[in-house]
Amino acid sequence: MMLKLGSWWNRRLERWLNNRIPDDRRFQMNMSNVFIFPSKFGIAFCLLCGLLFILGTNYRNNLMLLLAYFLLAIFLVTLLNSYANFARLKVQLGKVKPAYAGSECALPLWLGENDKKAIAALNCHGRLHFRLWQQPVQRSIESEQYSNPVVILVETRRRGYFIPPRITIESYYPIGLFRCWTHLRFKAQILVYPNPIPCDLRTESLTTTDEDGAQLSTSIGNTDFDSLKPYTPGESLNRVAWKLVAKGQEMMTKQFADANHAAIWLDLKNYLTDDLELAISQLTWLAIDLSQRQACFGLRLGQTEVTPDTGNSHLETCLEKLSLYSPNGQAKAEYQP
Amino acid sequence: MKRTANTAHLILSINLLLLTLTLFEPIMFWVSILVLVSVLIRIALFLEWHKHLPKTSTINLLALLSALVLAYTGWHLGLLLSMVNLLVMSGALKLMMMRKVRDFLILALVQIFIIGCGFIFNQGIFYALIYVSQLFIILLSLSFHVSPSGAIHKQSKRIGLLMLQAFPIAVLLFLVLPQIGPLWKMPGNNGAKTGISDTITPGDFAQLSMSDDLVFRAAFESDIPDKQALYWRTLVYEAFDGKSWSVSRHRAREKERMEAGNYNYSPGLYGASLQYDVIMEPSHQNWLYTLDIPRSDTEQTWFSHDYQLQSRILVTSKFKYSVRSFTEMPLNFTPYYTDTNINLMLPQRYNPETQSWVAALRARYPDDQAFIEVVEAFFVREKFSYTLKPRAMLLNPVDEFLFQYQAGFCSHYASAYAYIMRLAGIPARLVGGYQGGEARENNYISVYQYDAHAWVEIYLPDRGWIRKDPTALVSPERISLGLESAVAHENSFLEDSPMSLAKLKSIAIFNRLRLLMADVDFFWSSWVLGFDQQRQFTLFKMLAGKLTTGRVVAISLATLTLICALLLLFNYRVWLPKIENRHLHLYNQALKTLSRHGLNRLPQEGPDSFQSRIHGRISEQCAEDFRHITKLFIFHEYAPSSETNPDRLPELKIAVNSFKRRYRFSIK
Repeated sequence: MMLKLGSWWNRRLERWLNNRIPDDRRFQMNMSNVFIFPSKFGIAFCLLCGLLFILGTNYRNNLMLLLAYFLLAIFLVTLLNSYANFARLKVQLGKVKPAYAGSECALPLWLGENDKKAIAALNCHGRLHFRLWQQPVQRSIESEQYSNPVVILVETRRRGYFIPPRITIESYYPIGLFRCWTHLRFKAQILVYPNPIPCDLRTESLTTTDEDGAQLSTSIGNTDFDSLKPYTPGESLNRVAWKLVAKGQEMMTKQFADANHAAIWLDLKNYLTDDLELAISQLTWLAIDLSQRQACFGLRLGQTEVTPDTGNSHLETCLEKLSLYSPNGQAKAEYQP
Repeated sequence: MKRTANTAHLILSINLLLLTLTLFEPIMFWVSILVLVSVLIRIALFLEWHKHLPKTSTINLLALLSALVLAYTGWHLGLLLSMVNLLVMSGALKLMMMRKVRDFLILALVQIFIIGCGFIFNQGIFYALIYVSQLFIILLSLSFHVSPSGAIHKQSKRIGLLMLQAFPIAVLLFLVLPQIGPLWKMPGNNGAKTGISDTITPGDFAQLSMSDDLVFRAAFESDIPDKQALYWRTLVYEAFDGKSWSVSRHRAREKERMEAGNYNYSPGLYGASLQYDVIMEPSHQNWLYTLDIPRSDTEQTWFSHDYQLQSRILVTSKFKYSVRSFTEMPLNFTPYYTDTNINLMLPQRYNPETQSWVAALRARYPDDQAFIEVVEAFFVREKFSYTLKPRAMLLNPVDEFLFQYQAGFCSHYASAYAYIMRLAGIPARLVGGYQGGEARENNYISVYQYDAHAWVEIYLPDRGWIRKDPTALVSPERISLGLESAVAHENSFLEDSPMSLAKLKSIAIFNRLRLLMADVDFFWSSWVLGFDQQRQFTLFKMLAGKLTTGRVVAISLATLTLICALLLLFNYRVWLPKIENRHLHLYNQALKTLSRHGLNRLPQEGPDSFQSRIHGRISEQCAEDFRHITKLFIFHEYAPSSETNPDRLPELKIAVNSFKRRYRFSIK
């Protein structure tokens, strides 16, 4: 019963928050997205004011009364100070690197001015606490000593597009009487790659052509060194001749004789069992593995096809296709709690 | 949270120590030691001499022991002092075992509360300043807790500003929020009773005469009356046991009944009167100081049949009450059975010599008036002297005083005189209080403990109670000039306190200093400590004229608005629209000025080309200014990183402002 009530309340709250603080790429704190309420300490402080007032009245002691009023005035002034301080905060989400499902995705938050000139223009004082919606505090930074970005980690579960959950930022500035906070959801679609699961390679050739696994082993295992050529930016760092770099020579890339010898096709239907997700995960692992070995491979997922190639951008394309694949059309972006 | 080197903790610890020091009087010595130890532990942790807190079990044991000792010693301390000691003690123990954030916050609250309690014991302006700085330290510690790595000067500035901002609001609240009377009785400070007590044994007052503590100050509306007229009635003693005088049990019971029934004796008073305010120091007693016959409309005071004004609750802090005294009214309203009855009661034992002497004298002078004159003539004729160092009179004090030593001070004379009257069948009683006082420029009068005095009232059927002061017969200068001159011959004034400022009256600079301090204290007492419902009403009347409900509501609303306005003003920048790009904003201001006179920049026009286009169309000076503005704007817009280039925003701002002024001027 309580659980039901709790989840009902949470749903209501979320709906209300979605209206109140719509998703955005960049937030400037203001009246509509900042919440402020006395902290537990603030409430105790108020009670103390009341106690001092009663004592002062009963002892006919004006100084005690003045103290009570003074504390009350401090309470009021900090209410405004607290808000004014927090309202100076600006946050935006930086570029998010895709993560593998089941691992943590890092959300880089950039605080302060977008302006290239305002390097340290975080006008917001005091400590800021960062956490995910209804989760314990993950990071605390201090305005006096912090460096952009502030990275928040989010657990991912499924492959596909992923909308990051609300991030709560809170501050108790200046003396902890008030808690100022906000729940921000950034307008961002983060790609979550499938969780890679190791498996053996099953190529098309196993079933159709005569060139079989033996050929495969040579194509992958072969590291016939061919020649060196100057490094061009964008090439895989795996192929840089680091030994030469260490000797102080310029960066050279190793060329392999059979790098483009033959294309391997990763076809979903070869891996498909009852469990589609398992197959996708296995394909992911293979794609990463092949790419690391500099092999040339292509990908076939039902109708979708990625022509064989090598390199990081090729791997990224493959992984994206794998993440978004669904047997009956395109996968939707979804919010994963 | 780093547990060892934590600035917030260190500041709070040191503040606890300072706080304990300001309360050295009410706090027991061993509690102070406990505080010192706990602070040392914190300092050791901060400097990393030691890395671990004491074990929780150790602290618990210590707490148990301390509680036991406190329960044992606190038995006779009274509730208030025990509570304050308990508070400080728990503060010290909490400090020893402070581990969590919660502990820290609780300790901060406890310290604020201790400051509040401190005001029970110390209310001088000096202590008020100390406590304000202590509050500052506590808030600073909280600030360090919230932002640990901030520089100390920045945080101090922040907290100082916060307190400055809070101050006017607190004052407004203080002036406007209703001053309500005490809701219930609070435990008093038993150990601290000062001033005259409810029993006088002749010789007792000697102790008071040694003290130069302030008792009260009175501010008169008109001129301060002569010293001779200032008999501050405080307590009436109607029971005599042959040696000492005390408050009669009959009277005490009657008063209890009156107080319980909320009955206030209110005789019809008329004639010449004096209006004055009294600000009394805490006496931890009920009685107040008045001139005869007083009438007061101050809350929580009441008047009894012995012409005594008293407070319904113990005076534990400075208390201000206003009185109108009808000085010419006779005290004859109470043809009261109790009065005459209890004031004729005589002890059978002691003082046989006086008894026989009075019997003989009374036989010769049966007329009351004649008898009184003879007795007074006796005091004048015999070689009585006024001294602060009387011999001890133990067996038959009145006999020994009258016929053997003939030297004593007010209570000896008053006691003997009243006893003689009772023996003669004239109802007589002792009145204790203060006589005279030190007047300050006709503004107010300060009465010190050494002004304590005792005199006699006798009841004559046709005239009522009449004040008789036998001391005046013997030592008129005591009454007209004060104690200091009365005992000048034996140099015994404030003998035990050589450093007393009152003793240094003869040195001009010290005397001026002393009087200046008295002025400051008077101002503080009457305006801050003595601010009460009456003052509040006076203030309201001054603001709004007649006090109707509507006007009171209006005042309250106005105050509320004022407070809100202040609050908004303190952070005015937040409410203004945010300027993202200051140089663009300034440049746009300059453009706006131009466009008011038909010079508009075209959308596709760059700043430079616009500048050259309008060059001929405005005055030479303005064009030059605008060229400068454009240069600065372009610099800001396109110059690379701010690290290599100095910030020229202020320059731009000045240029834009002067341009606007000059342009407007040149157009006119």
